[in-house]
Amino acid sequence: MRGVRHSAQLFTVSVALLCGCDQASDPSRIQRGAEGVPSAPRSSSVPKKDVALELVSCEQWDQRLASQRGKIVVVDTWATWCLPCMEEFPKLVALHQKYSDDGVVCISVSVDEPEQRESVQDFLNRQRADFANFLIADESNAWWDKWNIKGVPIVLVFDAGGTLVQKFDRDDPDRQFTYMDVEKLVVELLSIEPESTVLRSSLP
Amino acid sequence: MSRAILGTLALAVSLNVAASAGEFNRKVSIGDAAPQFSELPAVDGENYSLADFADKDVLVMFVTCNHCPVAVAYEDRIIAFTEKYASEKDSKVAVVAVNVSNMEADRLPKMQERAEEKGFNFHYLYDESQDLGRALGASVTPEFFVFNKDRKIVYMGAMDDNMQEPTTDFLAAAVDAALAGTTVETAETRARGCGVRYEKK
Repeated sequence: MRGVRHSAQLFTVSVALLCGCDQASDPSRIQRGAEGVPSAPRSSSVPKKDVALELVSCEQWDQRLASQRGKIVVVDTWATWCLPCMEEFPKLVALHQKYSDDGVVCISVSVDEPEQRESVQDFLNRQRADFANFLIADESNAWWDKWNIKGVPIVLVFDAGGTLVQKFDRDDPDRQFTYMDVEKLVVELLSIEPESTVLRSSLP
Repeated sequence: MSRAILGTLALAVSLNVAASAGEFNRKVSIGDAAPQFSELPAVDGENYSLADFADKDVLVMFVTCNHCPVAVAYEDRIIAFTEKYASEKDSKVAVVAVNVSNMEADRLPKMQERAEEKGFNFHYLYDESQDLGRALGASVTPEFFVFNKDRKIVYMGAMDDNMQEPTTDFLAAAVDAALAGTTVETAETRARGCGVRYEKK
């Protein structure tokens, strides 16, 4: 698994560089609570602040989803042991950056064991997953059964009414989804529901 | 307005599953013939084709890989299974694993390392083309298939019902039934594991 972590780290670092993301300094080299200390050199280490990660039951997750009524919701199910998932994850982040102003909500759900919470948090932080992230607390099959999942990654897309519109999977070897497919659907849904488009800021 | 309706209709249609496929498998159904494979390299240095196992009553195949933790978690179980059903030269069952992953960690040299390390007692083949995986509709590792004497699929899916503590051994039950010539009670289950990424052709 070390090889997995290593390549995941390399990948996320290169993605971060491509994004031109502002990297926080290594927290171990500066004083805790000393906000804005400029001394430590820029590094590609984990940001100081954790992105949101909530341990939930499937039932609680349903409630979280229901609270997003009125928005299009994209849910990416992944795991730290799933290499293709971790490779795809930046595309979820990119989708969020591109469409969150239009009323599209991106959510990630990890099916790692709850004991792996730290690894999950670590990955999400490196990915700069600045949206709602969940870790399923139920016994391991619950989430898989709920959505009839065979393999991860899968992406679920819900319309503004909360209805599941499509479940993107890779079950068919000849028709494995990509994020291009997901984005295409998101755009389609956005054009069908003009009322859900939030007024953009007028800044250039 | 009409564009929106067309769009919605297209979505509705796309949700329908393809006509001929299993309950969970998107490519093959119970009763379908085993896909042909020819001269696939194995960790023992030999090449294997489907025909090489013709003398066995039952053929168990599973798609697996080196790196996936789910596949790794099942290794001991599969070794025990093979020991029980296919350890003798005159055993009526053959157990054949095939790796269709094109990641470096899954290629033949690494497969050989793993096989030696763990003492794999089943055949472990490498399919660079990924065709065998495609033909089986195998989209996760590990994913299991049982073929009877006529080389028709009588079981496909998971090995058992739980990665940590199984209570139902679907694979063993299927092989027992196939050997006895009786109908397999649970012919298909949903395999669970790491997704296999297929290159676009």
